[in-house]
Amino acid sequence: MLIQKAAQKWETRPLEFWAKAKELRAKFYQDEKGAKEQRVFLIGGGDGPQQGLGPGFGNLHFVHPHPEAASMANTSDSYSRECRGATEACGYGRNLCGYQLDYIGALLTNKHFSGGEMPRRDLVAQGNDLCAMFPKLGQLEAEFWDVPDHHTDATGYYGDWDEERSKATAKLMADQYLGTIEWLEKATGTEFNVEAQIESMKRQRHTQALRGEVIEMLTHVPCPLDQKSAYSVLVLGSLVGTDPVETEKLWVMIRDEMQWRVDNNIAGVANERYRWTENEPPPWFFLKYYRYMEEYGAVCIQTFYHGVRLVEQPDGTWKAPKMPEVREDAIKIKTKEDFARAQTGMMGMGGRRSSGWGGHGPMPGEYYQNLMNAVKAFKCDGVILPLHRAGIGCVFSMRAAGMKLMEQGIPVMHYETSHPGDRTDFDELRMLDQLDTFMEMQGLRKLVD
Amino acid sequence: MVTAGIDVGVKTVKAVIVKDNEIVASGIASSDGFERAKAAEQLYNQVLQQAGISASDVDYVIATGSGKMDVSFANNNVVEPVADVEGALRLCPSAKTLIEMGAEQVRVAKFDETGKVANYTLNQMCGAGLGMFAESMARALGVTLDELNEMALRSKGAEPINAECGVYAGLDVVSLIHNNTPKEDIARAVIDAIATKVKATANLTNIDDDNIVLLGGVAKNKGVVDALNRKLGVECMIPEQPEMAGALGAALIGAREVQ
Repeated sequence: MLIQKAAQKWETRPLEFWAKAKELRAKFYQDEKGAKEQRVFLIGGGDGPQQGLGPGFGNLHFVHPHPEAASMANTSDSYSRECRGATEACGYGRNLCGYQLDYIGALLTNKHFSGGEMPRRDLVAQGNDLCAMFPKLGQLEAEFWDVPDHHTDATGYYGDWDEERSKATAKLMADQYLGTIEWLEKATGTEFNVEAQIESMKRQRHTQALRGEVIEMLTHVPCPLDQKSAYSVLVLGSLVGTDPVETEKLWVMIRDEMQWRVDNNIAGVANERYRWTENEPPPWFFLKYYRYMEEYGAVCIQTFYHGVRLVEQPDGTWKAPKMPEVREDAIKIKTKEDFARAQTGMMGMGGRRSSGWGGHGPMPGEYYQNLMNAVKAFKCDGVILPLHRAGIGCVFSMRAAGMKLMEQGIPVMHYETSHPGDRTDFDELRMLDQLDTFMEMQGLRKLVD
Repeated sequence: MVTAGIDVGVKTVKAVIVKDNEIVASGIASSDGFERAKAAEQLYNQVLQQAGISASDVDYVIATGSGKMDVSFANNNVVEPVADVEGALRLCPSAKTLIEMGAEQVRVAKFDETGKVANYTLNQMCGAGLGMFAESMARALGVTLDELNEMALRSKGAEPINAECGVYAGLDVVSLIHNNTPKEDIARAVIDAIATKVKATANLTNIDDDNIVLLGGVAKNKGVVDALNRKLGVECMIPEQPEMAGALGAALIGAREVQ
């Protein structure tokens, strides 16, 4: 390996919010396992705004299968492999989404990724998603546990902007959301407390706004937060429904710490000299590739999986879109109906293509534009994109976006996996070799002190 | 100044000695399966002998290829496309794009006259092992690789077979054998499948000019080259020893490193 000497060393420090984040995540899974003792309903199913309804009921704990499956893939290859094998042996095809191969396998083997048995779900509330596989998982989970389930329709329209269609879609989503609340009231025998839920929603919006502020700060050179650490916290309060009050406190901590690091040029990676961006979830089973790239002084910055797309301002800076409560035309939310309309709108269900919030699922051509914007906003030198066989990110536009970026002179590397949660088709040595090639062809070599 | 480049591939190992910017010795040998470190060392000794020098006369050794880490006597190593480009520019100075077709990988790189790589694409995993695929198909038909080529050139028409995956393509060939398809047509189908896959990889690199050089052992396969030229619509350049470009490039990079 050709070697270069590090030209510059940034000061770096351990992340102070790390212990708090770890504690929050651990508590979420402890609560999943302790739901019975705490007389809390454990709710299966995923993907949708119903995941945030816990505070309005006070006795629900939602578990989204996908982050749990991502943790499975990340925690142990042998365990994840055992689970996927169990799913295939049960008759499911290998082309199933990797998260589902993992998660169904965990149900079948009755093994939770953090140890012990899979806690039995009491109900399943499955949200909507345009992916053909995701909504089906709720039905399967309900049949497995033999528990009542509730489902909502997905809406999708990627044509030219249509105001009337958008209004109708938003109304459908809000009405369905109200239907979910009604179903949960009946199924749990608990009255929905709209005041508590609205209060929580404000916290969630504030948390999301804080997340936007943090993403804006990642444009700074040196980047204050490394990508591997970022992935550990960005789903807290969204896909992983941690306690809203504590999650808000955590994000205040993160925002303040990042601001301090930016003000003092404290880097996430001490030898940062090359920046790249990526798209969609990473290979959860191979996050060490971020550390491998650090040997070249290369750091990954931002992914649409963070759920924030920065927008260029007239002065040339890049900012996160404002959350509704900080907009001048903020919606006054007082009733359950107001809440349903606002919440489904926030989740982007009424017009996700232009919301600025949310990650995967834009119009095909938008992948290129979003990536090009990210390259500009985060001052990136290159792009690394996955080619998954199935599930998230399995879109024809990923390769097309890569080719278009190359046409614009942006170096691009594609790597192949089965799915972010499934390493079956993944060749670790090939990927490391590709990374070496990607760096060396740009004149970068591994660094020595 | 004397430098050496060692290219350790899956099937073969190649070595080149460069003295004062001129090739003074070169050689190729089998990688010998699990013994490729030993094979590399043996070949290195052979080319040193051919050049009439000893190992202590060599200022710098650079390894490349998938087995580059196995070359314990190398001072350093370099990734394959960077070595390939360096070698390609020496062998064909007008080249702007290279397509390297080895036993294991197809690599396509676009570069400028200084050797700076603009775009680079590696074959998708399903398309790996094209060189080995050609060899195994020749074995399946009971002929040598050279005979497979000659047979393909005599074909009057062939059914397309799977060009995405060598394993599935092999199964398609078995079906053709069962259907009593003439060997010549099967050979043609195999060659066309390889060319189709190579072209697909080339397309992903946005190649847009006709200064293309073919490298690697498969570049010596006339059938594949003809089929590829037809599919690309250009006449690709082929140096005299297309499989030596990586080792040559490594030796030239070594000379620069020493300077």
